[in-house]
Amino acid sequence: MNKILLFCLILVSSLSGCQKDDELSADEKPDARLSQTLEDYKAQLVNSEYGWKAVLQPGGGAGYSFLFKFGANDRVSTLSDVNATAAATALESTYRLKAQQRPTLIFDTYTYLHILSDPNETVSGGDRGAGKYSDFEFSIDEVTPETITLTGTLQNSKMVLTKATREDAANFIRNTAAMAKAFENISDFNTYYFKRLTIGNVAYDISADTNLRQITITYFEGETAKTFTTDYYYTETGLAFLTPFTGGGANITNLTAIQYNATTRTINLTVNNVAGTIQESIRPAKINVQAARNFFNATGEDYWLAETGFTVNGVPDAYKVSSIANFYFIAFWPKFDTSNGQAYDLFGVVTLAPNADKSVLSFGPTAVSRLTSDGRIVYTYLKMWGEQPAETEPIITPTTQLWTDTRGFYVVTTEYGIDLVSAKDGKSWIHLYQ
Amino acid sequence: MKTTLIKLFFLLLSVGFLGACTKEDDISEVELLGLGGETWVKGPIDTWLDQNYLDPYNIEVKYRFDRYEVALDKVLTPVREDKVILVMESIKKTWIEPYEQQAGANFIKTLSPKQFVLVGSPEYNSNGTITLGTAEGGRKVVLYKLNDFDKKNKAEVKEMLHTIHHEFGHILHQTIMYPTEFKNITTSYTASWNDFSLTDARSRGYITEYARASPDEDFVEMISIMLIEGRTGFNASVNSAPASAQALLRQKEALVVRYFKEAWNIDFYSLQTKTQTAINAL
Repeated sequence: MNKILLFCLILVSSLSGCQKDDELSADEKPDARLSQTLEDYKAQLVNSEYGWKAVLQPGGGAGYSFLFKFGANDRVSTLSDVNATAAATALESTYRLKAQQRPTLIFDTYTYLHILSDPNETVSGGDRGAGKYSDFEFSIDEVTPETITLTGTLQNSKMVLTKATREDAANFIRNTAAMAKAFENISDFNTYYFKRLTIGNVAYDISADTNLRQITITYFEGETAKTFTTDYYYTETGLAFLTPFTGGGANITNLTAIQYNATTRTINLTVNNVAGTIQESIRPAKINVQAARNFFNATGEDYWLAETGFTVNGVPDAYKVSSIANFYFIAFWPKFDTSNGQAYDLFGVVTLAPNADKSVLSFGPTAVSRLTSDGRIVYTYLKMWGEQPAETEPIITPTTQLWTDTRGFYVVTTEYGIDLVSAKDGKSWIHLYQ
Repeated sequence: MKTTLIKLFFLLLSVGFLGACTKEDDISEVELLGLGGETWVKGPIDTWLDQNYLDPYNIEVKYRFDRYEVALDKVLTPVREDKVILVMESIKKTWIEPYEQQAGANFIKTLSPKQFVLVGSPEYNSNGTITLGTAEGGRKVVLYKLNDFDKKNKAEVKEMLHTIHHEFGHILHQTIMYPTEFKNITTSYTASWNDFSLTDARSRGYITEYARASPDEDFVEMISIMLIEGRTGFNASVNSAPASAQALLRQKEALVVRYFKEAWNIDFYSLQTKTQTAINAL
């Protein structure tokens, strides 16, 4: 009984206890501390005499460089390598430090940074309604005297600000943009299908999407072709892969000292101190024999589909196959049928008349194919299948000539299907998918 | 026994409460600091907006991006600084001033939305359309796609004014309702209005595709198109429609004119002329 009483007393006294000493001094109050923090961040941004270098990695991938100079008047001047104008002319806009869920840096009027997050796809080069999944509102994650690490609040982009030196202020974007300009000549390499990256005595097929800042390298493991794709960003000395390329024993993280020679149409560069080049090429670095064999061994049960005719010298559908009346697609049909016991392939024009409820395999040239020992497929003209409308003659004749060129085609596997690339000069190709 | 104990416990508990202290917080000494980031060093744009919108009309123009003023999940971009005055000056000339001249100085002051929020990009919707403007309860108007604004591009200017006259139309009819017979002139309103072409909408007696969304939208689309296209432009649109639809559109036009006279004592055709003159003079 006494124990229970004692317990009650203790319980009651602990419930009724109070702490009278709850007055916080003014600078300890949360809102005071928060605004002090914001002021400190602002002071740090403003007090860097030569501003801040920044690399932004949008949620959508790749990376972009900036140079920001923050003013005490809540204005910021920006240079960037997002495009040539942004690299050449500084643009002034406004910024704000604001307490949201966390202390947040907001670029609150338009500057070069916003190009990446513009939902207008013609501005951003990204997706309609989404841009390149980038940010202009960033929560402040980590601060040291030399760096500030930020995370985008909408798209989870990452941005790292590094205190700039006088040298950086003058050269960071200029150098970065120069590397971008030199490398982006690869976009003009569009008359040939193959672009070859040669480093010392090693060669790869390479392709680049300079808008998305993405590089794809084809390499071989034994006889099997593999592709490696990485996002990249430009640096003052070249271009950095976001994922290192380690296929086939290589180890590439950077392409450096990028220069363009317009006379020879060559991008010169170095990789791990070894000189290299990127050039247009009439043939692949290594012929994908396996892909050609697989394509050639098709059973004839199914056709491949091409949305248009051949691309020639960089001109898509050069012979205007898609201008044929009621054109729907090309049914590229290996082993379509036999003639005197000989299997043949069809380059079939499929049409769909307005209001018709089904498409029709209309007509098209046929050819007998063979696989060469080095991995090309050569087509020999056989006959016209179906009723060819007379007016399609200027379209079908050059198409047939190209298709049945004696030097045949390389077979390249792609993300979507396969490409047949003319072995004549590497300047004509057609995309097929199933 | 048990009850006694419990009683004893409560007795002690109440004693304990009496013994507890009272906390004396003198709130008069607490300075509210806010969380920061709501004010900034004023520049020429801020001064211009104060002089042309805030002081005369008590309209706040928010041009610095604030996520909490717009859809939280939409990808949008802020407006370019060099567009702010350009846009707001054009709006003043082609929306505020014609109304002021026609309906007196207090008309806009009384009825105008109290806040404009400016956004640089369009807002993209999942059904493939884009939003150019929204209004909330007659208080706030959000204008989008302003980074493309060029006052020499009359089509773009009209597109933007379309939004403002449209949203202001909503404020007008939410203040004084339009004649109910308007709702019965055409009745094929549909939520999937965007699946139909303009020609299709016109042939059914709607001035725009969006007018088919509901009678309210139809009414304000009529006001907006009549003001931004002027009488000539509006007549041309009507005359391009089939005869049956022309009659419907003329009935709607007559009701809009009647509504402005009866509800607001405004001569609509005169307002229409003044708006046209202002647009052409930009």
